[in-house]
Amino acid sequence: MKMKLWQQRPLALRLTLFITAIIVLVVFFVTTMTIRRERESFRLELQQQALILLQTITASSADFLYTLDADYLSDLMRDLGKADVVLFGRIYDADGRIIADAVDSDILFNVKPDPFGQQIVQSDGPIFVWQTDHLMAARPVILGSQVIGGVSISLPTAPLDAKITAVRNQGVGIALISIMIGLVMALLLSRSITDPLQQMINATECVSEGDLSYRVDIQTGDELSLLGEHFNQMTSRLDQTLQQMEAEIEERRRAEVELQSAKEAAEAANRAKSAFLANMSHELRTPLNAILGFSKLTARKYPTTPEAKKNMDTIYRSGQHLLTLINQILHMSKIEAGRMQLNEQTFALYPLLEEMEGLFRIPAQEKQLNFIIEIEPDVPEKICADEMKLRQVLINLLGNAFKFTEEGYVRLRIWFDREAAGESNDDYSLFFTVQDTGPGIQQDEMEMLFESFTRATAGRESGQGSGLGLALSRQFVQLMGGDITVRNVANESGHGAIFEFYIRVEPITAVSPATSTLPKIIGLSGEQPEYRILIVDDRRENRRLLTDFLRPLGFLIKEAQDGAESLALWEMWQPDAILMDMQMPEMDGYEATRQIKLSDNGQQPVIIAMTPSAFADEREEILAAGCDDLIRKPIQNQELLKILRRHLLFNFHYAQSDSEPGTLLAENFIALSPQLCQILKTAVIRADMVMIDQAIQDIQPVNPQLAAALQKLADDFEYDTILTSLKAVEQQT
Amino acid sequence: MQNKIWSSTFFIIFLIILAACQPSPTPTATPQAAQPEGRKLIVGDISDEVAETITGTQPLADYLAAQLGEFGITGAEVKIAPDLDTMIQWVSNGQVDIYFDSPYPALVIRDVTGAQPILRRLKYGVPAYHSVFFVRNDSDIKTLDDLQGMVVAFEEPFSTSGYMLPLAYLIQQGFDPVEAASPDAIVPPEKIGYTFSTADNTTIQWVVSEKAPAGVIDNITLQRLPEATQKELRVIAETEDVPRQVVLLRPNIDPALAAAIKTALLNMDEAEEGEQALEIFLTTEFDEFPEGHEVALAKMQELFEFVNNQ
Repeated sequence: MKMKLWQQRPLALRLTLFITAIIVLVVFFVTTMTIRRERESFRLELQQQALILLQTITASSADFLYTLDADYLSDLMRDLGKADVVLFGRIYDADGRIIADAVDSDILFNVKPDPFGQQIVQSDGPIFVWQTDHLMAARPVILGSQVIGGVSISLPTAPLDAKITAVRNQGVGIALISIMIGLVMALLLSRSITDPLQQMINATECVSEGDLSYRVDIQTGDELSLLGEHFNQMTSRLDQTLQQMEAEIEERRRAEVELQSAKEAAEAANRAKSAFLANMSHELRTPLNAILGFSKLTARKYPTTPEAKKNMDTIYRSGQHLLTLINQILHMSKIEAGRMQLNEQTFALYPLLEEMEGLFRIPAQEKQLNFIIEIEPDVPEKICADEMKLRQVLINLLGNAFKFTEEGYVRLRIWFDREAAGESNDDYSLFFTVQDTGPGIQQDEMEMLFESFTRATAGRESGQGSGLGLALSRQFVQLMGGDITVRNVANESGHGAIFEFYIRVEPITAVSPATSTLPKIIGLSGEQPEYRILIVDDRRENRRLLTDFLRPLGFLIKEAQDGAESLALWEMWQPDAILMDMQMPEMDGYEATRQIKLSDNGQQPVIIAMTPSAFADEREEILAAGCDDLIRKPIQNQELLKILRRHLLFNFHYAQSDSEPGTLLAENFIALSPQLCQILKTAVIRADMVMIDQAIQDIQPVNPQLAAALQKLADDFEYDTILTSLKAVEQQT
Repeated sequence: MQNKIWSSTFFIIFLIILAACQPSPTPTATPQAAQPEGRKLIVGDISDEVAETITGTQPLADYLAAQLGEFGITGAEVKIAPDLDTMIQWVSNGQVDIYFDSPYPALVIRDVTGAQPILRRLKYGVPAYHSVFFVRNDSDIKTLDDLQGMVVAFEEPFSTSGYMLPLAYLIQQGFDPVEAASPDAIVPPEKIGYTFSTADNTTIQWVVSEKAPAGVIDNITLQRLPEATQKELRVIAETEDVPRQVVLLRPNIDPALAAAIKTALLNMDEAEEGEQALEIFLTTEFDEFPEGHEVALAKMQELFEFVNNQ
């Protein structure tokens, strides 16, 4: 703490105190040494003086001491005392008796020897005894070999004390003068350091406050001066740099303002575009919805010849393709807005490829091209990926290939590269190669081929395409974790082009419900309450499409053409579910849903929003309005039933069919107890024939037909078929 | 004596040099009072302690001179003679007007020069004194008989108490005193030797230090010794009393002046200045011999003649 307090003191004060302390210590040391030396010197001098005095007294008194002339010796010592040289002086006889004393005559004529006198006469030489305030010196008086007495004197040490006091006072005086000089020097020294430092502090404060014009003026010519020069150079450069930066910032700010204006304009345009696209999607999708719906309904309701059914399917798929084309524009807009999301799900790859084969069969036949699909053996049948985007990419690439190829072939090759697998063990690269025998692509067009609204020479000459297909494909592929490349066959145009892309996929062994082959639903199973469904849509054909689909299945249906009518029917009829179109004139679906959900009139219906929007953020808005679920237009019947069943919890009655074992099994498994299903599933997974036979025997009393089918599959080791059906039923229920 | 003077002089010079080397206060100058030309009153004494004697006598001399102005006396001087013969010459030649001493030297000077005894001096306030023979208390000497074959310490040859009285006493007691050179001199067993220590203090020291078996001093000096020393000494014999000191005036002095001096001395203790001078002179007063000076000195004269006749 103390060290901290010391360090917090000003530098000048610390320097001054430090130097002063050193001076005090040095002066103290020197003074002490001087006093010590003076004391020693004085003692020596006093001893010498005493010795001389003793010798003098001895010389003066020896003869009289021999005759014991006390009178003379007394006079001698009395004169010595009067001379104020000694504190006392004595002369002793040969036995040590005091004969004469310089100051006190009362001690004379003592018969008994004096102890000190005895010591003197018995000694061989001088004796020195230092007392507090005097020095006692003595010596025997010897004539020849005879000790005739002794003399002693006492010299005051007062002069020594006075000298020491003088030295001490001199030391104190010197110390005071030194301290004053030291203080001045310390102050000057500390000022010579702290003044420049203070200048530097002021300068740094000015700089920190933004004043870069401040300059320090240190003329000491030492390191501090150099520091000041460097500081001035630094601030000067900093000032210049800041001025440059300010100019650049100002320029940038102006650019940003312009950019902001441009951005706002672009955003306004984008909003207009979005609004346009939304309206367009709604306007285009609605009639397309009718085309798709009625083609499906016609195929279901009026089955004619297989050829007619196939043509009807083609109409349906073409409508789907048209819908896809419309969606391309929407997708591109979403991608540009950064709102495109992956919709990964498990699906079977082969049906997708069959779909491609069917889609491009007619163009191939028309141009007499060979359409070859090659699948490497290790390509998994089921994968987890964004099926829609993959389909879109394949349609784009195959469509281009068929479009620009007049003879030869179009080949689609799918291969699986485990070595190209990434860090995750679950991800693999699935490669697709579309090769044609068309004109190929000119080398200088390859780099711009995947840019939006850009077409190659062949594209421009054909007058077909929007220029979005390849750009969208690359965006989709990259979104799926892959990339797309293009090259010419034999590396030159005229021999055909090769488009190759890969995506990251997760191989799946189970079958997704969306792709499973389910038995045909013929209606609600018995012993269930009637389910009332209110269809709300401003388009009559849309209402009719849904009504014609749902009413035959056993649902009670009513229709409303806007929100207000839907409120009235809801209050009057109390439907179990409402299929609500969200975009309607007058009161739209959002408002109608809010009013229904805010009302406390009876049991709340399940409201399923119908929207053509593909944007994910709209889903949140729809759910926030109170909708329980949503389905995108054009409405897929299977998806609609799935959503309805999720909320209303009804059961279906399926049509009997022996066309495929899996279909037969699936419809029978639904009625089977979950325990028996689990036992059978475990037995199949383990490939335990004994356990499988036991499970079939347990099923026999409950469903003999299912047991027979299972026995046939087990005998043929069709365990996968059994397991696929079991999993499909599990996911459906 | 000459040796003693040279030693003292050498020692004093040394002290002066030594004192000069020591830091000492600046000596204060004492300017001498301007003395007008005229006759001075001369006071004489015999002493080997010249300075001490002058210092002690000068105030008295000055006092007397001040009282004698009408006789042309403008000042006073103290003259110290080294011995009795010198003093006899000075008194005879009129170089000394007044002389103070014990009865024995005073009697010698009167007889030789014709000086007149006028008053009795009460030195230390004592009108009369006598001599004592003393030994150490632990000495085997009990009487004067035990001193035969030994040497007794006397003071000096013109001392009353340290020579004349003890010598006369020994003779009167039937002893045959003989002068010896030193205390350890050999004397015949039937005789008592005596030697001069030159001072009472030396006499005492010789006895204390057993340099001499016995010594003689006056009773006043013995009484003034430290009590402890007195207890260590033992008196084995005492003489009869004689006047302590006598005041002599030179022969042929103006009777009026003599009378004025006598009057001044007698009244000296009544004046403040006189009393102060007396105190310095170690004297309480001067008075007349109660029995007259002739009678008072007759006993001394008798002893003197008795000794001289031996």
